[in-house]
Amino acid sequence: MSFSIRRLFLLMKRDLHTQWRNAFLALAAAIAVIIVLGVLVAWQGDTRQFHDILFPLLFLPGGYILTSRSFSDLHHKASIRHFILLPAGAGEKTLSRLLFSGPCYLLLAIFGYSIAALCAHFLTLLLFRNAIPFFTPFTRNLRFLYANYLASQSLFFLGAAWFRKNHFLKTVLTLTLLSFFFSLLGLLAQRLAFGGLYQLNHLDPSIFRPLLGRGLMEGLIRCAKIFYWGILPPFCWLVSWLRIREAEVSHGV
Amino acid sequence: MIRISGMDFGYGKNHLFRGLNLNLKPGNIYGLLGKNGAGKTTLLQIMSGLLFPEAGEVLLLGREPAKRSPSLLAEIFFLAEDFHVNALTGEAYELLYAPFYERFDHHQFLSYLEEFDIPGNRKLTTFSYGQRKKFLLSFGLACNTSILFLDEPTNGLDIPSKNQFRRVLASAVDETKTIIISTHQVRDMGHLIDPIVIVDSGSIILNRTIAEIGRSLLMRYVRALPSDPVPIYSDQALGGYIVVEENKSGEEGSVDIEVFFNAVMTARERVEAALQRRAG
Repeated sequence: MSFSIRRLFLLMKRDLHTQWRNAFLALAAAIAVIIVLGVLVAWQGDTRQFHDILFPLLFLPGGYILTSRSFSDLHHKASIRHFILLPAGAGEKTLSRLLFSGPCYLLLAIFGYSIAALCAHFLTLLLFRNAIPFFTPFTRNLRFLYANYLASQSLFFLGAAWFRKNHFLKTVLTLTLLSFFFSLLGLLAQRLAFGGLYQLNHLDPSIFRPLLGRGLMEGLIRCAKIFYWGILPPFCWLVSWLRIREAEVSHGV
Repeated sequence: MIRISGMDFGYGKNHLFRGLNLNLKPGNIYGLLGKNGAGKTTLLQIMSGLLFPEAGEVLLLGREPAKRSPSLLAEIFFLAEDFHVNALTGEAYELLYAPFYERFDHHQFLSYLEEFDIPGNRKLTTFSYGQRKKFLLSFGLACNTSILFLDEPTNGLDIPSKNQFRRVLASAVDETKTIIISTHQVRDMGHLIDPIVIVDSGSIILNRTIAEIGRSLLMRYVRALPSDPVPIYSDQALGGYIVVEENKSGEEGSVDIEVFFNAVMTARERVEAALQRRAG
């Protein structure tokens, strides 16, 4: 497998012009929406929670939808040939799309939202003297949100590479089904482990305390965190790369 | 340049190629002919690495196209029948795509565009199908890749454009390049494609130069069908017949590719026998 930084930049330049033009249009639309909503909220009165509610509401779905469209040209009958035969490695092609839908989107969203918030601030100050507050993009909560986005976005990235059509909906559906499946599995495991407790008329929560004391729950939570932050994203990226590498022209629909 | 040996390929349970062998040398414009569904486009796609063979070996410039190494991809340009263009101007297209091809020649590109009368400053999406095709062909030729795959390149081109196409392609080929054209429009390819490769029933049934065919077979127009010897192939034409006979004079006759193709499809064994005799 060969990797070239020059080719990666060329790919990103090409993708910026061909793939992500619509993303910029969406960003411009989002800025307009933020300003209009800012004016409406300021007119109503309480503006304190404005960014806490609106930013995640726009940032997360926007990013997931954008990520789901990462490989739209790979699944299209007419453009798949072009995608495969472009002289760059599958790793470079995957990384280019990953960088755009992950860190680049993050920076662009912060920048775009900050600009929109600034405009909304001055506009509302001018109109109502009840200004929308400035947007502070690097609070602890928001940094946690960004990290969460970068980790969970990998699932939508895999969905974009895997599914041939309706990438976003199919990813959401798959995740819903998987969560149902694991919930049932958890329920079953719990039933098997603590089945005897169901014989009791009254379930006392203190029954579980010894387990917590032994660190079982902490261990489980730690495992889940390691899985979520350390295993899930690289796994999704790896499978996406394999999918890109193995793509054939007959995959296009 | 291109070597395929013992290659199997199929779509699901339908086997298209079984043990296919083919050897293509540089410096030629190969014409890949075959009936509908014979697998011409599929063969081009396998050769370019767009599809993976199930068995056997496919080598382009000594390397496997299925591995899609960037350096090999930079040696291939594929102009498909149904292609995709972005909403870019010709200039922007060149700016974004040319750097991927080391031997891309800007002046050559401009001269091809001029030859085809294509403006470089308009968005590709505003072009007609034929103009888009001519643009991509100009770009592909200017990339100076070692291998150029053209799938039905004259479809959608007007009459003057077909002439331009032949002229441009004939001037573009040199000792280092191989051009493979898959087509049904054999009349458009007259005096351009040589050798001719015919694919049928999952294998290559013929791979001969025009000179070999012309020395072995005689194609002529007659008023009445000769009875002795019975022609290898005959087809009714206005006021007479086009016949294909064995060329016993040894002098190279002109080859009508369409008539030759029909002769191969209807009397393959007799055509092969005539070709073998002359070669022997």
